[in-house]
Amino acid sequence: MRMAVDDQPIEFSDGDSVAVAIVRAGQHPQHGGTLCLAGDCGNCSAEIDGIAFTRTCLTPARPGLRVVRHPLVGAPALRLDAPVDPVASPNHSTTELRRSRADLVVIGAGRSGTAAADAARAEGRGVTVLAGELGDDVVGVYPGPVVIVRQSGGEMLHVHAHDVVIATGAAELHPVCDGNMMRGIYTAGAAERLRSAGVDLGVVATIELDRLQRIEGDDTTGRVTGVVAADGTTTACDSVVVSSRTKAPRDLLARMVADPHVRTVGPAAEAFELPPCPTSGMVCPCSKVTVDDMQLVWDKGFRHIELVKRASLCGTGTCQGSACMPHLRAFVTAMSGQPAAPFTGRPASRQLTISEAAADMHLDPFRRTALHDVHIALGARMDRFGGWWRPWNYGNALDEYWAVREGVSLGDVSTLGKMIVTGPDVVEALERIYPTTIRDIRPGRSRYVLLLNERGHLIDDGMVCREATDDGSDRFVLTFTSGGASFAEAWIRDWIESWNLDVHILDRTLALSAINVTGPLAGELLRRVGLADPPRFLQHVHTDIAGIPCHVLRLSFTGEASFELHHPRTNSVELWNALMDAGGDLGVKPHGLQALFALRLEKGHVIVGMDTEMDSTPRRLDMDWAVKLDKPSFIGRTALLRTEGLDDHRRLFGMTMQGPAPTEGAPIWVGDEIVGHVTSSFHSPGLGQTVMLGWQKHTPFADTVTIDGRPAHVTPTPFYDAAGARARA
Amino acid sequence: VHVRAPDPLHGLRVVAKPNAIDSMSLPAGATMLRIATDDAIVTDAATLTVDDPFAIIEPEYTFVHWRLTPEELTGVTHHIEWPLPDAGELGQGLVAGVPAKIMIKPDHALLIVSAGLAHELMERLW
Repeated sequence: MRMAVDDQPIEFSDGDSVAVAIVRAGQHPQHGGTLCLAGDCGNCSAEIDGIAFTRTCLTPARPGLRVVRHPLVGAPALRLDAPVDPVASPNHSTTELRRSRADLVVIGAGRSGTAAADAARAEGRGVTVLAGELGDDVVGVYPGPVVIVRQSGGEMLHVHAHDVVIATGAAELHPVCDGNMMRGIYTAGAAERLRSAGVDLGVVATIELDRLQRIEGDDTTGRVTGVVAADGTTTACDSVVVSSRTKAPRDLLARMVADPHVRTVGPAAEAFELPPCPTSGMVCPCSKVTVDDMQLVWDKGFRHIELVKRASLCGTGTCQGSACMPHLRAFVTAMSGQPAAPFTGRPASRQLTISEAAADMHLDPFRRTALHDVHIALGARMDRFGGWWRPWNYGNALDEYWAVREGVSLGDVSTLGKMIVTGPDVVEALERIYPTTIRDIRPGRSRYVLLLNERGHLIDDGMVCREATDDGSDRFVLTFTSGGASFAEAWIRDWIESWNLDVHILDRTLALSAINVTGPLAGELLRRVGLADPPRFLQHVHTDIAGIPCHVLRLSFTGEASFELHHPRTNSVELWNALMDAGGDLGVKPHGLQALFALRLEKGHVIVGMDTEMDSTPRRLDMDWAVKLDKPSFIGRTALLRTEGLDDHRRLFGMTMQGPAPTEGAPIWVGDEIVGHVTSSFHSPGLGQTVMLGWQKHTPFADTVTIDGRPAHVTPTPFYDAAGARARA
Repeated sequence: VHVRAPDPLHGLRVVAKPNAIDSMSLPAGATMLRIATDDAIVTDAATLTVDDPFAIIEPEYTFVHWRLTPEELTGVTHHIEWPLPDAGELGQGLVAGVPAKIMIKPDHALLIVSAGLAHELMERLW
C-alpha cells in the first residue's frame, strides 16, 4: 500500500499511522525534531489532504493519502477554494455540528479516567466518556461547562455537561539541547511504538533526559550521528531515544477553563519535577524559539511567564506548550528564583480548520421582505443593508431615478421600523424621548423627529403619527430607520421602564410591509386602486387600497409626492402587483436603494449612520429646527444646553461641483490641508451637476473646497425643489 | 428531514398589563404564546377581550411555523444552546443563530420564526 509524501510514493503497512509510515520510509514528517507519536507535540504535523497542521501520528495511513510537509521556514500556504463574493458567499460553515447534554463528561479513558467514570456510575450518574481512542478529539473546554469535540467522522460535537472530569494523563518530556532538531530523536514511548510496528531504528542510543548534554548529527542530511552525555561520553548511533523519570501533566484542557464544575484528576493534576533549566537548543519547535531567544526576551525585561510567552512566542504554536512548557517553566523559575506556574491555555488544543471552528456559527441572519422574490423576478441586484436584503437596483438606477422624478415608482420600504405606542403616560413618554413637541400633533397628523442620546447626538430619526381613536385615547405610530429600528425599540423601552411610565409598546416592523408610491403621478396611481381622497402632506389615514387594509403615510424622502402604504406582510405581493398593474400605462417602475439614495441626496436629507457620525448633534447637521430647547425635558437636552453657546468645529455641509461625483469618503481639502470628507455624492442628471454632503471639521468653515482636485462650493440644501412644492403637490 | 415550506402563524398579538393577559380567557382551540409578561400571541383567535383600556390588540402577521415530529425536533436541538422548554411552555432563543421560538406539545413541537428569517432557518437547519 502506498501514499504520497511531497508527491513521492512511500510504502506503508497495515495499521501504520502516517507518522510511523514516514519514519518506516527513513524520513521525518517535518524537517526534524523529537517525535513522541502520542499526539502531544506538533513535531509530526503536516498537511494531509489539504489540511495543514494535521498530526500525522494520529492519522491512519491509507492508500492515496497526500501528505505535504510544511516549509522549513514560514507557514504553509493558505488555500482558498474559490474567489470570495461577499454578497453571494455562504453564510455558514459546511461542517456539521451536533449538540448533546450530559450529566458527567470524563475526558480520557486511561486508568484515572476509567476510575472517575466508574465511581460516578456507582453513584447513579450518567457518564459520557470522550477519548481519542474512541474517536473523540477533545479540542476545548469552556465555562458552562461545554466540551468541544472533533469527531472522527468529520463532525463537531458540543457537549453541555453538568460536570466535567479531565483525566488526560501525562506526557513524556522532549529534550532541549544542541542538536535537538535533528532527525532520529524519539521519546521512549515513541520508540516503543515504532518497534512494535516493526520499524528498524538502526543503532539506538538511549539516554535519560537529565543526563543529556547534546545530540550530534550530520548537518548535510540532518540525521543524528551520536549523543553526548553530561559526563562528556559520546555514543555513536542512528537514533536517540530520550527517556525521563517524570512526565509532565497533560493539562492543556484543564488550563483553558476556571469552572467549579470542571476538575482534573490523575497524572494530569499532579505536580511534577521540572527538568533542568535549558541552556541551549530549540525550546519551542512549533514557533522555532531557542534558549537564546528566551534569554533575549528576559534581558528586555519580560519577567512573567505569560510575558515571556507573548514576547518570545514560546508556547504559542501548534501544541500550545505541550512540548515546551516544562522547559519554559524551568527557564523562568531558574531566572526569577520563583516557581513559575503554567501559562493559560486557550481553545483549541488542536489545529482546527476554519470550517470546524465555525461549525453551526453563522453570519448574522439577514431578513427578506415579503417582496424578496418579486424583486428577484424583476431583475433586482440584492444586497445587505441594515439587517435586510434589499434591492440595490433593477438594472438601471438612472431609469429608476427618472421614474420617480417624472412619473411614478414603487419602493419596498418594508424594512422601516414601525411601532405602536399607547397608554396613559404615552404623551409624557414621547415628550421626554423626542426633542420636538409631541402633544400638539393632532390626530391624523405626523411629524418628523430626531432621536438623540444623552449627549445630544443623533442616533436615529423617523416620524411620529398620532392616530385618531374612537375613544379619544392617545395612540401613536412611530417609525424608525431600517438599520436603527431594533436599537431604537430597545432604547425606548429602557427609558420608559426607567421612568416607570405606563406605556404599552408593540413593534410592528416585521408584521407590516410597506410600499412607497412616489412621483408626480403617485396620487393618480393611488386613485386608480381605490384611494379617492389621498391624505395631504404629513397626514396619514387608515383605508383599504386594492382591497387591502393600509395605513397610508403622506411624506417625502424622495422629494416628490410620496405615500407609504403600511399593510399586512401577507398581502404585500398582492398589493405590489395591483399597483404595478394599475400603473402600467403611467410607466410605473420599481426603484432600488441606489436611486433612492440619489433622490434623497438632492433633497439634502441625511441618512443616519451614513452622513452622520457618532457625535453628530442637530446643530452640526443644521437640524436645529427639529429641536425645541424650550421644552422642559427630553433626552439630550442638558447636553445641548451646555454646548449651545460654545463654538463648534465641525459641520455637515451641502456642496456642489462640476464633473463626475467623487467617491463617497473622498477627502475634502482646503489648501494643502484635509478638513473633512464626503459622505454622500451623486452626479444629478436633473440638476446638471454633482451634489454632495460632507463634513468640514476645521474652522473657519470654507465656502470653497477642493475635492478630487476640483473646486466644490458649499451650497444650501435642499439642492432640489427648495420650497418643497413637489413633495406637497 | 423533509424540507417543507413553513405555515403562517395566524392569530392576534396582545400587549397589555401582565395581570390583564393572565386573566384573559381564550377562545376554544386558541393557544397563547407568552412572549413577555406584557406581550402574547394568541393563535387561532379572531377576537379577544382584555381587561386593559390601553391594550394593543392587532392581527399578527410576523411569524411562520413548522410542526415538527419528535425526531425532527431532535435534529433541531443540535442547533440550540439553551435548554428546551417544558411541555406547554414557550422557549425563545437562537436556533442555528436565528431568533426563534419553540413550543413542545404532547405529540409534536412548534418551531416558530419571523417570516423574514424563515429562509435563513431552513437553509441552516435543512
